[in-house]
Amino acid sequence: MGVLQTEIINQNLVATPPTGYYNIFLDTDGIEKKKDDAGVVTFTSGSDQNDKVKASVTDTTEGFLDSKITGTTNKITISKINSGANESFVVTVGVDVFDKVSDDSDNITEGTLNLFLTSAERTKIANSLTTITGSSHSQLTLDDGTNPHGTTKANVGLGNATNTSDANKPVSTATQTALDLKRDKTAIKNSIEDDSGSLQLVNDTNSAGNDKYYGTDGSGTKGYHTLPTASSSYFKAEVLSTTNSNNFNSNTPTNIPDITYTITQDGDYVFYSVVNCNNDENGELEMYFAKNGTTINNSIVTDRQQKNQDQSIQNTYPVDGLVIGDVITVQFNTRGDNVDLLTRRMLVQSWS
Amino acid sequence: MVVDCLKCINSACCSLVIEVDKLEFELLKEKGLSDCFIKHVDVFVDKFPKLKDKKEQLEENYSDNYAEMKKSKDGLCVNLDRKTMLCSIYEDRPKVCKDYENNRCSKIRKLCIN
Repeated sequence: MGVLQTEIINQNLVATPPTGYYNIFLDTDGIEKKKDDAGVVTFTSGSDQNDKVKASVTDTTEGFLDSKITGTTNKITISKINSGANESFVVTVGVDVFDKVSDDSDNITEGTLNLFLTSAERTKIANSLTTITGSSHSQLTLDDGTNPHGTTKANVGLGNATNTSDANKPVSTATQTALDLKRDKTAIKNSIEDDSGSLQLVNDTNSAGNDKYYGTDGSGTKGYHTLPTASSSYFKAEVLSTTNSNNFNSNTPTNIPDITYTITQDGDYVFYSVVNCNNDENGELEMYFAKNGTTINNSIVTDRQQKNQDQSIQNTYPVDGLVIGDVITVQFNTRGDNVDLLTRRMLVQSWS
Repeated sequence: MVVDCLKCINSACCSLVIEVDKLEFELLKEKGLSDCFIKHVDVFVDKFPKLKDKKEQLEENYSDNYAEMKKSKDGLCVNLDRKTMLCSIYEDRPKVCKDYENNRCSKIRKLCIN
């Protein structure tokens, strides 16, 4: 509340003022006492009841009193509180007492406060108090472990939390759903275990061999059975020539005519060739296979030929990793002898 | 020149390669002579073991020259009696032996001697 008390030092005031009122402009010693002398330069000589509210009062009360000082209840009253040389006055506004105490130190009862608050302000304060004491928030807490405001777990966003230790918490619904998909190991019979480095069926007295499998065979019998033979695709082709080719002569492995095979599918092959021939000399005849014109030296076979005798020479040799387009031929080294080539045949075999 | 086999001194013909087809092999087998032969397919799969399980199909290649008469270390037929230098299975000898004409002996002897 603003300071409105004005202490007036009375040196020569002798007239008897009306009870409760003082005329501070008496002149009894011939010396006009000015308002300055009394420190009340702003006082006017009007009756108190008709006096205006002083600007300081208005300013101090920040306008609260504008509507309060009307009527008799809220009138401004100046009271004498000391007599003699130190006689002083107190200006009273309504029921409140303006003193020299600073606003910060002023004691204001709630009843007094209500007198000076507008309805809107009281409503605002009331709403604030409602917020403070409401159930949605607790702005006041105690650190003594109590819960004076009845704060709930939902208030702090933990409505789903339960006060259970981690060890005693139940599994989640998702975890249980996943567990329901697992087999109970105690209910599994004949489970597979590592038995000294090899897989062994528990409770099965038989042991799997290198060529065994465990399961049900074609007759419905469970147990170890012999692995079926891997099925493979067998391929066979033949090249035949009945056209004689006389006086074939070479000193190095050389393709003989009309006995060539071109690979049509990738894979490993076995080639067999038999050539009927007639040598004009007694001597050794070498026979080879060649891949794409290159002699496969390890495929050599030799035959001791009898002069001018129809005889045959044959050879069998496997060639792996052939691809489409490779060309396989049969080669002779007659070592300078003239050899008549008669019927000749090459068989081609492959398994994939 | 005709050579009297009984007077043969080196049995040159018995050093030649004697081959039989599968049919003849089966006939000789019935006479207990299969051990005198070695099958070409067996020689092949011994050399290439990975093809052992393909033996049945590989055997098709050797229909005409299915098996070969075994020879001893001296290069002569295992059925040649070394004391008499006569054939020990003469009555059951392979057809190629029966068909052999001893008028070729001069050539064989020369071949063998060479």
